[in-house]
Order: sequence, then C-alpha cells, then structure tokens
Amino acid sequence: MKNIWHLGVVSYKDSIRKRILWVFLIFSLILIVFAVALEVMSLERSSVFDKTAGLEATGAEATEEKMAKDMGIASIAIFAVLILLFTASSQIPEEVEGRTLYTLLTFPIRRRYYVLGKFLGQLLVVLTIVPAMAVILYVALFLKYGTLDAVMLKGIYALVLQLAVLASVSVMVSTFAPVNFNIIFCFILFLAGHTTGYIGTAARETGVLPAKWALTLLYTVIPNFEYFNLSSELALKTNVSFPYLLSVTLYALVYITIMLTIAAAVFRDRQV
Amino acid sequence: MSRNVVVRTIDLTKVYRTFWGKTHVRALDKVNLEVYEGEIFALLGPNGSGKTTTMKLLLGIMFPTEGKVEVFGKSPRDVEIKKDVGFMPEESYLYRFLNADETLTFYANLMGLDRTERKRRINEVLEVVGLTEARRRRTREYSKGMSRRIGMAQVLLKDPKLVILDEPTIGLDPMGAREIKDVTLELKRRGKTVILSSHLLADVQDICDRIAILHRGNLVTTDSVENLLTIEDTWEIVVRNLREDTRRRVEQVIREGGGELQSIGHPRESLESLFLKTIKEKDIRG
Repeated sequence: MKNIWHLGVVSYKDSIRKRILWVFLIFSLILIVFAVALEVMSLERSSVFDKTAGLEATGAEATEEKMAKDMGIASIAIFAVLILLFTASSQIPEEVEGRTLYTLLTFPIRRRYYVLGKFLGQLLVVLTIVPAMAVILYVALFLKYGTLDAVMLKGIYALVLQLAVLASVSVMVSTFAPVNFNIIFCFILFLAGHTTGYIGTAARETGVLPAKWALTLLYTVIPNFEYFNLSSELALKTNVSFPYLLSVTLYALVYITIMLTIAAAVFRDRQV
Repeated sequence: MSRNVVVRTIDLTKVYRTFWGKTHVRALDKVNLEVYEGEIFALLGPNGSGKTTTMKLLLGIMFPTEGKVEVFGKSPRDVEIKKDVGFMPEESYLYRFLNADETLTFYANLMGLDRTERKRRINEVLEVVGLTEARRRRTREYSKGMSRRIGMAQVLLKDPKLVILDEPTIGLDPMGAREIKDVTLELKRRGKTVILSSHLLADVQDICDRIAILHRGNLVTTDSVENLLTIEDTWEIVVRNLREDTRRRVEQVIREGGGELQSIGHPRESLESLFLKTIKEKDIRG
C-alpha cells in the first residue's frame, strides 16, 4: 500500500512541474482577481434588503459580490478542469511512450497499485491548485467586500470532489486511450455532466423505446456534475447541510471506485 | 551435473495482431529455451528477430500468445518473483525531473527497503557505477553513459538473482562498454544469472557462456560459445621468442605431417584493448 503513496508522489511531481499547469494557474489567478476587482454594476444602487433589519449592503453591491463569487468559482472550476485534463490524461501514455513503465513494472508492485498511484498523484495536484486559487479568491473578496464566506468553502469542497471524479475518469481512459482522445473525451464528459438533468428529462419524456434506453443509460453512466454545483447556494448565502455534503461525498466515492476498478481491470492485461 | 533452471520457455509464441484480430507479425514461433543458474546467456539476432519480445515475455510485461514462460518455476507475472529479477532496458528510461538519488530512492521505496538499508544500498550502488559525484544532478542532464549507469544502478539496487540486460553496451564508448562488461562478469562471479540481448557480437563473445541465435522469431541454434566458435579441425599455437630458424622448422614439420598451414605471422591485439591501454596510460601520464 505504501507503493501507492510513492507512485502518487512521483506522479504528482511529474504533473506539477509541467509548464502548461503554471500557465493555466497564472491565467486563472489573473482572472479571479479581475472578476473580483471589476465594477460590474454601474446602475443606481437600489435597496433590496430591509434597512430596518440593520443590513448595510445595498442590492447592487450584494449582486456584485454574488457575481464576483460566481465568476471566481467558475474561473477556478474551468482552469482546474483544464489543468487536470492535461496532466491526468498524459500520465500513463507518457510512461508507456517514454518507457519508464518498462522498468517500473519489473518491480514488485501490483498493477492496480500503479493505477491507484496515478489517481493519487492527480488528486494531490487538485489539492494543490484548488486551495491555491481559493486562497487568492478569498483574499480578493475580503479586500473588496470585507467578507469571509463559509458557504464558499463548502462550494470549494464540492468542486474538489467533482475534480476527483473527473480525474478518476481520465486515469481510467488513459489505461487504453491516447492523450488527445482522453482530453477531448473528458472535456465533453465534463460538459455533458452539467446537462444530465436535461438527459434525464428527455429519457422520461421520449416515447421511442431505444431512445429511452439509450438516454437512461447515458443518464446513469455520465457523472452528474450538477450535483456538485453549489453556486446558487453561494449566491443566496444559503447554508449547505451536512447530509447534502455527505451524499455528494458518497456519490463521488462510489463513482471514483467504479472508475478505478475498471482502470485496474483494463491495466492488468495491458501489454507494454 | 544437473543445473538449476532459472528460465524456461516452452513452445513460446508471440503473435502481434491488428485491431481486427488479423495476424500482423509472428514475433516468436515455438521457442524453447533454458537458462541455467549462474551463467551469462546471450540472445543474439538481427533487428526484428524477437530478442526484445523474448525479454518482455520473460519480464511479464508482455504475455505469450501460446506456450509458456517460467522464471524460477513461476509465471513472470507473479509479483513475488519480481524481487529477484532486475532489468536494464536498452535506453535507461528515467524520470528526467528526478536526480540520481531521488530516482534510486523511488525504486528502493518500491522494493520496500527500510530507511537504513535504503541509504546503504544507494550509496553502495552509486559507488559501484561511479555516479556518487553526480548524484544530485537531474537525470535529464546526464550523458548516455551516465544514464546507462543509473540503469545499472537500479538493477544492482535490487540485488536480484536474475539480471536481464537489453543491449547493454549499445551506444557506449569502448570504456563505457568495458565497464558494463566488467559489471556483468562481477554479477556472474557473485552467482547471479544474466541474460543479455545484443547485436554487438564482439561484446557478447567476450563475456557470455551460452548463446541463442534468433532469426525472424525462430530459434536457430543454442549452445555454449566454446562449442559454437571452436573450429575443430584447426589449431592455433601462440609462441613468444621464436627464432626464425625454429619457425621454419615448425612449418616444415607441419607440412610433413600432412597439415595445411593456413597462416603464420604476428597476432594482432584487439582494437578495444589497444584503446583502453592508450587511454589509461594517458590518464596516468596526465
């Protein structure tokens, strides 16, 4: 089991040194700061909240803060996904092409531990870049609005789970597919994962049986990334309940387990 | 005298197929081999003869289409026997962002070595391969010879019973090649079994006990170097300080005895030994 950690650390070191990661990271930090600093609302401020309740924020300012948070979180999500796609998709193919895998597989490590190590490496990448971007967002929001939002922390947590699910899919695909296919497939999956609601609705409403089956299958198989999306709760400063976070975590764990089980099964018989 | 069989292949066949399942290349065709404990065994053959395929099958990173491979009596896919098998690939494919120390630490960790043992072995193998001074340099800065030495270091780190070397001397200068050959002979001296593949025949002839020649996936011959290379009906006599009149009398005796004198003259030193001697003398003189 220690081998999983050692493999994960090397995988992490390999990913974190890639230039494209740093390019995306710098762009994301610029965008986050820009999103917060930009004066979105130029309309006259009108009161939305009851002043007698003692609230100081005007409606325009509250909307500005909401949009800044939305854009900030969205920037983190988009760039984290891009970074993850480029790092996770290349892990195994690069080792096959670079032939470091030849030497590695002659050591006493189980192939499934190799796969788990690769996933762990990508998880460590997520746990590095997302907190880094989140800290910048928090600092920027605090400097602009003087607020520290605890609900946003839950949103960040849900985002990390979402990225972990995506990482597991990418690692699974990388056990048999080349890098380009992996990047495109996972990006499409990421987009599709935010539209599973529509797929579910279409599956229920269609009368064509093969289409119903196909859509139901897609709805079941495609990860429901909207489940991890807490942007409306963030916007309304609604508290996210612990049972909801637990259910999101369990969903992520089950999906990741399935993906890594498939990855291990495929890689067990992979010839290099 | 019975000898322990370390590696055995039984009708080993490997067929590469296209995506649609059609036979693309028959890389190995019913190859039967045995490699005995403590010998240096060479797989020879031109490019595409099946040497690398055989090695990958012995290592368990590729699987036979038909037939069987046994390493220490078990399948090479068995994780336990991998502790006893070391492999140095043709190119030392390294994690280029790690230095030598980090590379060997990574491999030592995979071996499950504890901290003390890990440090001891790493220091030892770096000393053996002559990379102690360069241990903190990233491997992407290494020359070909240095990369090959790190490749050998990770093999020695394991202290395996069976060592598999794929084209160990290719691309190296004569001194580098000599170092690899010396290390290989030292491995044999320590009781290890070595299987190497090469198409540099002079290097193989220097150090191997037995060889197998592959051609287009077929095993053409396998025997000891001694048996294969000895020309039975020809004698070689090497003499020092022979006077001219004695030489003429020797020639006459040969002719009278019915022998056919093939050649007589001064033997030639090998180019390798001349090169090594010259460089060494230059180093001493400074």
